Amino acid sequence: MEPAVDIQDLTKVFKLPSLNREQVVAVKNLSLQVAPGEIYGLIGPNGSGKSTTMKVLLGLISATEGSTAIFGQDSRKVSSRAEVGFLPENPYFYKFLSGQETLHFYGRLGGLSKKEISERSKELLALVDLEHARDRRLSGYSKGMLQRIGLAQALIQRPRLVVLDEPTAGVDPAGSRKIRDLILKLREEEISVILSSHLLEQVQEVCDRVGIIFNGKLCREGPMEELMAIEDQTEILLDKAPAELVEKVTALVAEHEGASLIRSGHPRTTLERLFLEETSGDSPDTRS
Amino acid sequence: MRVFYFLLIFSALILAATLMIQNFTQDPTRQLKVMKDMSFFAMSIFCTIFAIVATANLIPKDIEDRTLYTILAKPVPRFEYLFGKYLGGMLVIFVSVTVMTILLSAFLYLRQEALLSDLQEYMQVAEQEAEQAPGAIENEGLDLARVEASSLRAQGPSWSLLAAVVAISLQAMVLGAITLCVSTFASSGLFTVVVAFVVFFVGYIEPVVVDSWRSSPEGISGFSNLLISAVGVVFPNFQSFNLVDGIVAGETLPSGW
Repeated sequence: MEPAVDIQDLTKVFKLPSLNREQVVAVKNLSLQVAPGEIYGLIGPNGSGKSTTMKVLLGLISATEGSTAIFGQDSRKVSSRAEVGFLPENPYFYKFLSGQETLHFYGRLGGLSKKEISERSKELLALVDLEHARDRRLSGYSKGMLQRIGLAQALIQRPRLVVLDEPTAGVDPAGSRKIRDLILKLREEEISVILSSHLLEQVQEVCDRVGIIFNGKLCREGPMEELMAIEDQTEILLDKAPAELVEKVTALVAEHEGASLIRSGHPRTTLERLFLEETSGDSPDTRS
Repeated sequence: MRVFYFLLIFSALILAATLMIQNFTQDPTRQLKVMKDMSFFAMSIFCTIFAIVATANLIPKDIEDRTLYTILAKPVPRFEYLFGKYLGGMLVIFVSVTVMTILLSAFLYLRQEALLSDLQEYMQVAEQEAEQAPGAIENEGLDLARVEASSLRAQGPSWSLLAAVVAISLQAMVLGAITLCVSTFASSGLFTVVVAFVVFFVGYIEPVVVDSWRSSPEGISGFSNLLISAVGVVFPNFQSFNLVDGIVAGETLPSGW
Protein backbone atom coordinates (compact mmCIF):
# COMPACT_ATOMS: atom_id res chain seq x y z
CA MET A 1 0.00 0.00 0.00
CA GLU A 2 1.23 3.52 -0.86
CA PRO A 3 2.53 5.35 2.26
CA ALA A 4 0.60 8.48 3.26
CA VAL A 5 3.91 10.31 3.66
CA ASP A 6 7.25 9.39 2.19
CA ILE A 7 10.19 11.66 2.99
CA GLN A 8 13.56 10.57 1.58
CA ASP A 9 16.91 12.14 2.53
CA LEU A 10 15.40 15.55 3.10
CA THR A 11 17.87 18.39 3.61
CA LYS A 12 16.85 22.01 3.97
CA VAL A 13 19.40 24.82 4.16
CA PHE A 14 18.37 28.42 4.76
CA LYS A 15 20.60 31.21 3.53
CA LEU A 16 20.69 34.03 6.02
CA PRO A 17 20.45 37.60 4.72
CA SER A 18 24.00 38.55 5.69
CA LEU A 19 27.05 39.66 3.73
CA ASN A 20 29.18 36.61 4.64
CA ARG A 21 26.55 34.24 3.12
CA GLU A 22 25.89 32.47 6.39
CA GLN A 23 23.76 29.32 6.15
CA VAL A 24 21.64 27.37 8.60
CA VAL A 25 21.00 23.66 8.12
CA ALA A 26 17.46 23.24 9.42
CA VAL A 27 16.99 19.59 8.38
CA LYS A 28 19.69 17.10 7.40
CA ASN A 29 19.19 13.77 5.58
CA LEU A 30 15.83 13.11 7.20
CA SER A 31 13.87 10.07 5.99
CA LEU A 32 10.56 8.89 7.37
CA GLN A 33 7.37 7.19 6.26
CA VAL A 34 3.84 7.38 7.63
CA ALA A 35 1.42 4.55 6.84
CA PRO A 36 -2.23 5.23 5.90
CA GLY A 37 -4.37 5.64 9.02
CA GLU A 38 -1.33 6.04 11.28
CA ILE A 39 -0.82 8.84 13.81
CA TYR A 40 2.82 9.88 13.73
CA GLY A 41 4.32 12.18 16.36
CA LEU A 42 7.29 14.37 15.47
CA ILE A 43 8.86 15.66 18.66
CA GLY A 44 11.93 17.71 19.41
CA PRO A 45 13.07 20.96 21.02
CA ASN A 46 12.41 24.40 19.50
CA GLY A 47 14.39 24.97 16.31
CA SER A 48 15.03 21.27 15.76
CA GLY A 49 13.44 21.27 12.28
CA LYS A 50 9.92 19.94 12.89
CA SER A 51 8.02 22.86 11.32
CA THR A 52 10.50 23.06 8.42
CA THR A 53 9.94 19.35 7.66
CA MET A 54 6.18 19.93 7.68
CA LYS A 55 6.42 22.99 5.44
CA VAL A 56 8.55 21.13 2.89
CA LEU A 57 6.10 18.23 2.99
CA LEU A 58 3.25 20.66 2.24
CA GLY A 59 5.14 22.30 -0.62
CA LEU A 60 5.19 25.64 1.24
CA ILE A 61 8.98 25.80 0.96
CA SER A 62 11.26 23.86 -1.35
CA ALA A 63 13.75 21.19 -0.26
CA THR A 64 17.45 21.80 -0.79
CA GLU A 65 17.95 18.06 -1.33
CA GLY A 66 15.80 14.95 -1.11
CA SER A 67 12.18 14.24 -1.97
CA THR A 68 8.79 14.34 -0.28
CA ALA A 69 5.64 12.57 -1.44
CA ILE A 70 2.03 12.42 -0.27
CA PHE A 71 0.21 9.20 -1.22
CA GLY A 72 2.83 8.67 -3.94
CA GLN A 73 2.45 12.15 -5.45
CA ASP A 74 5.36 14.59 -5.39
CA SER A 75 4.32 17.09 -2.71
CA ARG A 76 5.61 20.02 -4.79
CA LYS A 77 2.63 19.46 -7.11
CA VAL A 78 -0.42 21.56 -6.26
CA SER A 79 -2.70 18.56 -6.89
CA SER A 80 -1.07 16.59 -4.00
CA ARG A 81 -2.57 19.12 -1.57
CA ALA A 82 -6.10 18.00 -2.35
CA GLU A 83 -5.36 15.06 -0.02
CA VAL A 84 -3.94 17.19 2.83
CA GLY A 85 -5.27 19.34 5.65
CA PHE A 86 -2.90 21.62 7.57
CA LEU A 87 -3.16 23.44 10.87
CA PRO A 88 -0.11 25.67 11.51
CA GLU A 89 1.14 26.72 14.92
CA ASN A 90 -0.94 29.59 16.39
CA PRO A 91 -2.93 30.34 13.23
CA TYR A 92 -4.82 33.59 12.77
CA PHE A 93 -7.54 33.41 10.20
CA TYR A 94 -9.36 36.38 8.68
CA LYS A 95 -10.90 37.97 11.78
CA PHE A 96 -13.76 39.62 9.92
CA LEU A 97 -15.16 36.20 8.88
CA SER A 98 -17.46 34.10 11.05
CA GLY A 99 -16.74 30.43 11.78
CA GLN A 100 -19.20 29.36 9.08
CA GLU A 101 -17.73 31.83 6.53
CA THR A 102 -14.20 30.65 7.31
CA LEU A 103 -15.15 27.07 6.50
CA HIS A 104 -16.90 28.27 3.35
CA PHE A 105 -13.75 30.15 2.29
CA TYR A 106 -11.45 27.16 2.83
CA GLY A 107 -14.00 24.82 1.27
CA ARG A 108 -13.92 26.89 -1.92
CA LEU A 109 -10.12 26.78 -1.88
CA GLY A 110 -10.39 23.01 -1.51
CA GLY A 111 -12.52 22.87 -4.65
CA LEU A 112 -15.83 21.89 -3.01
CA SER A 113 -19.22 22.95 -4.37
CA LYS A 114 -21.49 25.23 -2.32
CA LYS A 115 -23.76 22.31 -1.45
CA GLU A 116 -20.86 20.14 -0.32
CA ILE A 117 -19.46 23.00 1.78
CA SER A 118 -22.80 23.61 3.43
CA GLU A 119 -23.14 19.93 4.43
CA ARG A 120 -19.51 19.51 5.40
CA SER A 121 -19.34 22.70 7.50
CA LYS A 122 -22.40 21.57 9.49
CA GLU A 123 -20.68 18.24 10.22
CA LEU A 124 -17.39 19.87 11.13
CA LEU A 125 -18.87 22.60 13.35
CA ALA A 126 -20.59 19.81 15.28
CA LEU A 127 -17.36 17.77 15.38
CA VAL A 128 -15.29 20.63 16.81
CA ASP A 129 -18.12 21.72 19.09
CA LEU A 130 -18.50 25.22 17.62
CA GLU A 131 -22.11 25.11 16.45
CA HIS A 132 -23.03 27.78 18.99
CA ALA A 133 -20.39 30.16 17.56
CA ARG A 134 -20.92 29.51 13.84
CA ASP A 135 -22.10 33.08 13.11
CA ARG A 136 -19.71 34.82 15.50
CA ARG A 137 -16.72 36.63 13.97
CA LEU A 138 -13.35 35.00 14.62
CA SER A 139 -12.17 38.19 16.36
CA GLY A 140 -14.43 37.08 19.22
CA TYR A 141 -13.05 33.51 19.39
CA SER A 142 -10.80 32.28 22.21
CA LYS A 143 -7.48 30.65 21.39
CA GLY A 144 -8.93 27.15 21.91
CA MET A 145 -11.86 27.98 19.59
CA LEU A 146 -9.44 29.29 16.95
CA GLN A 147 -7.45 26.05 17.11
CA ARG A 148 -10.66 24.04 16.72
CA ILE A 149 -11.93 26.08 13.76
CA GLY A 150 -8.40 25.64 12.37
CA LEU A 151 -8.76 21.91 12.67
CA ALA A 152 -12.18 22.11 11.01
CA GLN A 153 -10.75 24.05 8.02
CA ALA A 154 -7.97 21.46 7.74
CA LEU A 155 -10.61 18.72 7.44
CA ILE A 156 -13.03 20.55 5.12
CA GLN A 157 -12.18 18.70 1.87
CA ARG A 158 -12.03 15.26 3.57
CA PRO A 159 -8.25 14.91 3.39
CA ARG A 160 -6.58 11.53 3.86
CA LEU A 161 -3.63 13.18 5.64
CA VAL A 162 -3.73 15.88 8.32
CA VAL A 163 -0.61 17.80 9.36
CA LEU A 164 -0.87 19.43 12.79
CA ASP A 165 1.89 21.76 13.97
CA GLU A 166 1.56 22.34 17.72
CA PRO A 167 -2.24 22.02 17.69
CA THR A 168 -2.53 22.62 21.43
CA ALA A 169 -0.05 25.53 21.74
CA GLY A 170 -1.43 28.14 24.11
CA VAL A 171 -4.68 26.24 24.71
CA ASP A 172 -5.93 25.52 28.24
CA PRO A 173 -6.08 21.88 29.44
CA ALA A 174 -9.82 21.52 28.69
CA GLY A 175 -9.37 22.82 25.13
CA SER A 176 -6.25 20.72 24.74
CA ARG A 177 -8.19 17.62 25.74
CA LYS A 178 -10.90 18.40 23.19
CA ILE A 179 -8.27 18.62 20.46
CA ARG A 180 -6.72 15.35 21.61
CA ASP A 181 -10.16 13.67 21.41
CA LEU A 182 -10.60 15.07 17.88
CA ILE A 183 -7.27 13.56 16.82
CA LEU A 184 -8.38 10.21 18.19
CA LYS A 185 -11.59 10.53 16.13
CA LEU A 186 -9.42 11.01 13.02
CA ARG A 187 -7.81 7.66 13.73
CA GLU A 188 -11.29 6.04 13.79
CA GLU A 189 -11.89 7.50 10.32
CA GLU A 190 -8.52 6.09 9.16
CA ILE A 191 -7.08 9.53 8.45
CA SER A 192 -3.27 9.69 8.70
CA VAL A 193 -1.95 12.38 11.03
CA ILE A 194 1.48 13.95 11.47
CA LEU A 195 1.55 15.74 14.77
CA SER A 196 4.20 17.95 16.29
CA SER A 197 3.81 18.94 19.92
CA HIS A 198 5.75 19.86 23.04
CA LEU A 199 3.10 18.19 25.21
CA LEU A 200 4.83 14.83 25.32
CA GLU A 201 2.15 13.22 27.47
CA GLN A 202 -0.41 13.96 24.77
CA VAL A 203 1.85 12.67 22.03
CA GLN A 204 2.25 9.49 24.06
CA GLU A 205 -1.52 9.17 24.40
CA VAL A 206 -2.48 9.61 20.75
CA CYS A 207 0.45 8.54 18.55
CA ASP A 208 1.10 5.12 17.06
CA ARG A 209 4.68 5.95 16.13
CA VAL A 210 7.07 8.70 17.15
CA GLY A 211 10.19 10.28 15.67
CA ILE A 212 12.55 12.34 17.80
CA ILE A 213 14.24 15.11 15.84
CA PHE A 214 17.21 17.09 17.15
CA ASN A 215 19.39 19.59 15.28
CA GLY A 216 17.66 18.65 12.05
CA LYS A 217 18.38 14.94 12.33
CA LEU A 218 15.97 12.13 13.12
CA CYS A 219 17.69 10.61 16.18
CA ARG A 220 15.21 7.90 17.05
CA GLU A 221 12.02 6.50 15.59
CA GLY A 222 9.65 3.62 16.23
CA PRO A 223 6.26 2.40 17.48
CA MET A 224 5.21 4.03 20.73
CA GLU A 225 4.96 0.75 22.68
CA GLU A 226 8.43 -0.30 21.55
CA LEU A 227 10.06 3.01 22.42
CA MET A 228 8.37 3.34 25.79
CA ALA A 229 8.89 -0.18 27.11
CA ILE A 230 11.79 -0.77 29.57
CA GLU A 231 12.65 -4.29 28.53
CA ASP A 232 14.27 -5.51 31.78
CA GLN A 233 11.54 -4.23 34.13
CA THR A 234 7.97 -5.49 34.82
CA GLU A 235 5.07 -3.47 36.23
CA ILE A 236 2.23 -5.03 38.29
CA LEU A 237 -0.61 -2.68 39.22
CA LEU A 238 -2.87 -4.04 41.98
CA ASP A 239 -6.40 -2.88 42.71
CA LYS A 240 -7.73 -2.93 46.30
CA ALA A 241 -4.76 -5.03 47.50
CA PRO A 242 -4.51 -5.28 51.34
CA ALA A 243 -1.16 -4.44 53.01
CA GLU A 244 -0.50 -8.12 53.78
CA LEU A 245 -0.70 -9.07 50.13
CA VAL A 246 1.74 -6.31 49.18
CA GLU A 247 4.11 -7.57 51.91
CA LYS A 248 3.84 -11.13 50.55
CA VAL A 249 4.61 -9.99 47.00
CA THR A 250 7.58 -7.94 48.27
CA ALA A 251 8.92 -10.96 50.20
CA LEU A 252 8.46 -13.22 47.19
CA VAL A 253 10.44 -10.84 45.00
CA ALA A 254 13.21 -10.64 47.64
CA GLU A 255 13.48 -14.44 47.67
CA HIS A 256 14.19 -14.53 43.93
CA GLU A 257 17.90 -14.17 43.13
CA GLY A 258 18.71 -11.33 40.71
CA ALA A 259 15.25 -9.69 40.97
CA SER A 260 14.61 -6.58 43.04
CA LEU A 261 11.66 -4.36 43.87
CA ILE A 262 12.35 -0.85 42.63
CA ARG A 263 9.28 0.97 43.91
CA SER A 264 5.86 0.28 45.46
CA GLY A 265 3.18 2.68 46.63
CA HIS A 266 0.08 4.44 45.32
CA PRO A 267 0.16 5.48 41.65
CA ARG A 268 -0.34 9.19 41.10
CA THR A 269 -2.79 10.96 38.87
CA THR A 270 -1.54 13.71 36.57
CA LEU A 271 -1.94 17.44 37.14
CA GLU A 272 -3.88 17.61 33.85
CA ARG A 273 -6.42 15.04 35.03
CA LEU A 274 -6.73 16.75 38.42
CA PHE A 275 -7.32 20.09 36.66
CA LEU A 276 -9.95 18.61 34.37
CA GLU A 277 -11.76 16.90 37.26
CA GLU A 278 -12.00 20.18 39.15
CA THR A 279 -12.87 22.48 36.25
CA SER A 280 -15.03 20.47 33.84
CA GLY A 281 -17.16 18.44 36.21
CA ASP A 282 -16.09 15.31 34.31
CA SER A 283 -14.30 12.58 36.16
CA PRO A 284 -11.96 11.08 33.58
CA ASP A 285 -10.70 7.62 34.26
CA THR A 286 -7.64 8.09 36.45
CA ARG A 287 -6.60 4.49 36.01
CA SER A 288 -6.09 4.48 32.26
CA MET B 1 -14.14 50.76 6.56
CA ARG B 2 -11.43 53.44 6.34
CA VAL B 3 -12.08 53.61 2.59
CA PHE B 4 -15.62 54.73 3.27
CA TYR B 5 -14.39 57.42 5.68
CA PHE B 6 -12.36 58.71 2.75
CA LEU B 7 -15.46 58.69 0.55
CA LEU B 8 -17.21 60.83 3.18
CA ILE B 9 -14.26 63.25 3.16
CA PHE B 10 -14.42 63.28 -0.65
CA SER B 11 -18.10 64.28 -0.73
CA ALA B 12 -17.47 66.91 1.97
CA LEU B 13 -14.62 68.28 -0.18
CA ILE B 14 -16.80 68.59 -3.28
CA LEU B 15 -19.56 70.25 -1.26
CA ALA B 16 -17.08 72.68 0.30
CA ALA B 17 -15.60 73.39 -3.15
CA THR B 18 -19.09 74.08 -4.53
CA LEU B 19 -19.94 76.54 -1.77
CA MET B 20 -16.56 78.24 -1.43
CA ILE B 21 -15.73 78.69 -5.09
CA GLN B 22 -18.55 81.22 -5.48
CA ASN B 23 -16.60 83.59 -3.24
CA PHE B 24 -13.47 83.40 -5.39
CA THR B 25 -14.81 83.65 -8.93
CA GLN B 26 -18.02 84.92 -10.49
CA ASP B 27 -17.34 83.11 -13.77
CA PRO B 28 -19.80 80.15 -13.77
CA THR B 29 -17.73 78.05 -16.21
CA ARG B 30 -14.61 78.53 -14.10
CA GLN B 31 -16.58 77.49 -10.99
CA LEU B 32 -17.38 74.12 -12.59
CA LYS B 33 -13.80 73.68 -13.84
CA VAL B 34 -12.32 74.29 -10.38
CA MET B 35 -14.85 71.89 -8.89
CA LYS B 36 -13.83 69.15 -11.35
CA ASP B 37 -10.16 69.91 -10.86
CA MET B 38 -10.38 69.56 -7.06
CA SER B 39 -12.44 66.36 -7.29
CA PHE B 40 -10.05 64.68 -9.74
CA PHE B 41 -7.12 65.72 -7.57
CA ALA B 42 -8.73 64.07 -4.51
CA MET B 43 -9.64 60.98 -6.57
CA SER B 44 -6.12 60.68 -7.94
CA ILE B 45 -4.50 61.11 -4.49
CA PHE B 46 -6.85 58.49 -3.00
CA CYS B 47 -6.20 55.94 -5.76
CA THR B 48 -2.41 56.44 -5.68
CA ILE B 49 -2.12 56.17 -1.89
CA PHE B 50 -4.61 53.30 -1.63
CA ALA B 51 -3.00 51.32 -4.48
CA ILE B 52 0.38 51.53 -2.72
CA VAL B 53 -0.39 51.41 1.01
CA ALA B 54 -3.18 48.82 0.94
CA THR B 55 -1.48 46.50 -1.56
CA ALA B 56 1.89 46.66 0.24
CA ASN B 57 0.48 44.92 3.32
CA LEU B 58 -1.69 42.25 1.68
CA ILE B 59 0.93 39.50 1.53
CA PRO B 60 3.16 40.42 4.54
CA LYS B 61 0.02 40.39 6.74
CA ASP B 62 -0.93 36.89 5.55
CA ILE B 63 2.63 35.68 6.18
CA GLU B 64 2.74 37.25 9.65
CA ASP B 65 -0.62 35.71 10.64
CA ARG B 66 0.29 32.37 8.99
CA THR B 67 -2.97 32.62 7.01
CA LEU B 68 -0.82 32.19 3.91
CA TYR B 69 0.17 28.68 5.03
CA THR B 70 -3.42 27.54 5.47
CA ILE B 71 -4.31 28.92 2.02
CA LEU B 72 -1.33 27.51 0.12
CA ALA B 73 -1.72 24.16 1.91
CA LYS B 74 -4.98 23.82 -0.08
CA PRO B 75 -4.78 22.95 -3.79
CA VAL B 76 -4.31 26.61 -4.75
CA PRO B 77 -1.57 27.60 -7.24
CA ARG B 78 0.57 30.50 -6.04
CA PHE B 79 -0.28 32.54 -9.12
CA GLU B 80 -4.00 32.29 -8.28
CA TYR B 81 -3.34 33.42 -4.72
CA LEU B 82 -1.36 36.48 -5.90
CA PHE B 83 -3.87 37.31 -8.61
CA GLY B 84 -6.77 36.97 -6.16
CA LYS B 85 -5.09 39.34 -3.70
CA TYR B 86 -4.44 41.84 -6.51
CA LEU B 87 -8.01 41.66 -7.80
CA GLY B 88 -9.34 42.15 -4.25
CA GLY B 89 -7.35 45.38 -3.85
CA MET B 90 -8.39 46.60 -7.28
CA LEU B 91 -12.04 45.82 -6.57
CA VAL B 92 -11.96 48.18 -3.57
CA ILE B 93 -10.45 50.89 -5.79
CA PHE B 94 -13.04 50.22 -8.51
CA VAL B 95 -15.97 50.47 -6.07
CA SER B 96 -14.55 53.63 -4.46
CA VAL B 97 -13.88 55.29 -7.82
CA THR B 98 -17.39 54.40 -9.01
CA VAL B 99 -18.93 55.96 -5.88
CA MET B 100 -16.70 59.06 -6.25
CA THR B 101 -17.63 59.41 -9.95
CA ILE B 102 -21.34 59.18 -9.15
CA LEU B 103 -20.93 61.78 -6.37
CA LEU B 104 -18.91 64.11 -8.62
CA SER B 105 -21.40 63.78 -11.48
CA ALA B 106 -24.34 64.44 -9.15
CA PHE B 107 -22.74 67.54 -7.56
CA LEU B 108 -21.61 68.77 -10.97
CA TYR B 109 -25.09 68.32 -12.46
CA LEU B 110 -26.80 70.10 -9.55
CA ARG B 111 -24.37 73.03 -9.65
CA GLN B 112 -24.60 73.25 -13.44
CA GLU B 113 -28.41 73.28 -13.27
CA ALA B 114 -28.36 76.02 -10.60
CA LEU B 115 -25.99 78.18 -12.67
CA LEU B 116 -27.97 77.57 -15.87
CA SER B 117 -31.20 78.49 -14.12
CA ASP B 118 -29.65 81.81 -12.98
CA LEU B 119 -28.45 82.43 -16.51
CA GLN B 120 -31.86 81.52 -17.94
CA GLU B 121 -33.52 84.05 -15.67
CA TYR B 122 -31.06 86.71 -16.76
CA MET B 123 -31.66 85.87 -20.43
CA GLN B 124 -35.44 86.10 -20.05
CA VAL B 125 -35.16 89.54 -18.48
CA ALA B 126 -32.65 90.62 -21.15
CA GLU B 127 -34.91 89.35 -23.97
CA GLN B 128 -37.89 91.28 -22.55
CA GLU B 129 -35.80 94.43 -22.29
CA ALA B 130 -34.48 93.92 -25.82
CA GLU B 131 -38.04 93.60 -27.17
CA GLN B 132 -39.20 96.75 -25.35
CA ALA B 133 -36.13 98.86 -26.27
CA PRO B 134 -34.13 97.24 -29.02
CA GLY B 135 -30.49 98.31 -28.86
CA ALA B 136 -26.99 97.07 -29.43
CA ILE B 137 -26.01 96.88 -25.74
CA GLU B 138 -28.90 94.56 -24.70
CA ASN B 139 -28.37 92.30 -27.74
CA GLU B 140 -24.67 92.04 -26.97
CA GLY B 141 -25.42 91.00 -23.32
CA LEU B 142 -27.87 88.39 -24.58
CA ASP B 143 -25.32 86.98 -27.00
CA LEU B 144 -22.71 86.74 -24.23
CA ALA B 145 -25.21 84.96 -21.99
CA ARG B 146 -25.96 82.46 -24.78
CA VAL B 147 -22.24 81.75 -25.22
CA GLU B 148 -21.87 81.36 -21.43
CA ALA B 149 -24.80 78.92 -21.32
CA SER B 150 -23.30 76.81 -24.07
CA SER B 151 -19.92 76.83 -22.30
CA LEU B 152 -21.63 75.82 -19.03
CA ARG B 153 -23.36 72.89 -20.73
CA ALA B 154 -19.96 71.64 -21.99
CA GLN B 155 -18.59 71.59 -18.42
CA GLY B 156 -21.30 69.34 -16.98
CA PRO B 157 -21.19 65.54 -16.51
CA SER B 158 -20.02 63.89 -19.75
CA TRP B 159 -18.30 60.80 -21.13
CA SER B 160 -14.97 62.63 -21.15
CA LEU B 161 -15.14 62.67 -17.31
CA LEU B 162 -15.31 58.90 -17.47
CA ALA B 163 -12.13 58.82 -19.57
CA ALA B 164 -10.29 60.73 -16.81
CA VAL B 165 -11.66 58.32 -14.19
CA VAL B 166 -10.54 55.31 -16.28
CA ALA B 167 -7.06 56.85 -16.63
CA ILE B 168 -6.81 57.37 -12.84
CA SER B 169 -7.98 53.77 -12.24
CA LEU B 170 -5.50 52.33 -14.76
CA GLN B 171 -2.68 54.25 -13.09
CA ALA B 172 -3.76 52.76 -9.74
CA MET B 173 -3.83 49.27 -11.29
CA VAL B 174 -0.25 49.60 -12.58
CA LEU B 175 0.92 50.98 -9.22
CA GLY B 176 -0.90 48.20 -7.33
CA ALA B 177 0.74 45.53 -9.51
CA ILE B 178 4.22 47.02 -8.95
CA THR B 179 3.63 47.28 -5.18
CA LEU B 180 2.38 43.69 -4.94
CA CYS B 181 5.39 42.48 -6.91
CA VAL B 182 7.82 44.34 -4.59
CA SER B 183 6.00 43.07 -1.47
CA THR B 184 6.68 39.44 -2.45
CA PHE B 185 10.40 39.84 -1.79
CA ALA B 186 10.66 42.98 0.39
CA SER B 187 11.78 42.56 3.98
CA SER B 188 9.36 45.14 5.39
CA GLY B 189 6.14 46.94 4.49
CA LEU B 190 7.86 50.32 4.78
CA PHE B 191 10.48 49.30 2.20
CA THR B 192 7.70 48.24 -0.22
CA VAL B 193 5.85 51.56 0.23
CA VAL B 194 9.02 53.62 -0.26
CA VAL B 195 10.06 51.66 -3.41
CA ALA B 196 6.55 51.99 -4.88
CA PHE B 197 6.46 55.76 -4.27
CA VAL B 198 9.94 56.14 -5.81
CA VAL B 199 8.82 54.16 -8.90
CA PHE B 200 5.72 56.38 -9.14
CA PHE B 201 7.72 59.58 -8.71
CA VAL B 202 10.38 58.61 -11.27
CA GLY B 203 7.74 57.34 -13.73
CA TYR B 204 5.79 60.59 -13.34
CA ILE B 205 8.60 63.11 -13.78
CA GLU B 206 10.93 61.16 -16.11
CA PRO B 207 9.00 61.91 -19.37
CA VAL B 208 8.79 65.62 -18.47
CA VAL B 209 12.52 65.84 -17.70
CA VAL B 210 13.45 63.92 -20.85
CA ASP B 211 11.26 66.17 -23.03
CA SER B 212 12.84 69.29 -21.58
CA TRP B 213 16.39 67.87 -22.05
CA ARG B 214 15.72 66.82 -25.62
CA SER B 215 14.26 70.21 -26.51
CA SER B 216 17.26 72.06 -25.01
CA PRO B 217 19.68 73.57 -27.59
CA GLU B 218 22.67 71.59 -26.20
CA GLY B 219 20.94 68.22 -26.74
CA ILE B 220 21.85 65.03 -24.85
CA SER B 221 25.13 63.09 -24.93
CA GLY B 222 25.21 59.45 -26.07
CA PHE B 223 25.63 58.06 -22.54
CA SER B 224 22.81 60.19 -21.12
CA ASN B 225 20.58 59.07 -23.96
CA LEU B 226 21.35 55.43 -23.10
CA LEU B 227 20.65 56.08 -19.41
CA ILE B 228 17.33 57.77 -20.21
CA SER B 229 16.33 54.87 -22.45
CA ALA B 230 17.17 52.39 -19.65
CA VAL B 231 15.08 54.38 -17.13
CA GLY B 232 12.27 54.49 -19.70
CA VAL B 233 12.34 50.70 -20.01
CA VAL B 234 12.41 50.03 -16.24
CA PHE B 235 9.93 52.65 -15.03
CA PRO B 236 6.41 52.92 -16.44
CA ASN B 237 5.47 56.26 -17.96
CA PHE B 238 2.81 57.56 -15.56
CA GLN B 239 2.39 60.74 -17.64
CA SER B 240 0.40 58.55 -20.08
CA PHE B 241 -2.38 58.46 -17.47
CA ASN B 242 -2.38 62.21 -16.91
CA LEU B 243 -5.54 63.17 -18.81
CA VAL B 244 -7.19 65.18 -16.07
CA ASP B 245 -5.80 68.63 -16.96
CA GLY B 246 -6.86 68.32 -20.59
CA ILE B 247 -10.30 66.94 -19.79
CA VAL B 248 -10.98 69.63 -17.18
CA ALA B 249 -9.98 72.22 -19.81
CA GLY B 250 -12.54 70.64 -22.15
CA GLU B 251 -10.10 68.84 -24.47
CA THR B 252 -10.97 65.56 -26.17
CA LEU B 253 -8.90 62.38 -25.76
CA PRO B 254 -5.61 62.37 -27.68
CA SER B 255 -5.78 60.06 -30.69
CA GLY B 256 -4.28 56.62 -30.10
CA TRP B 257 -4.51 56.81 -26.26
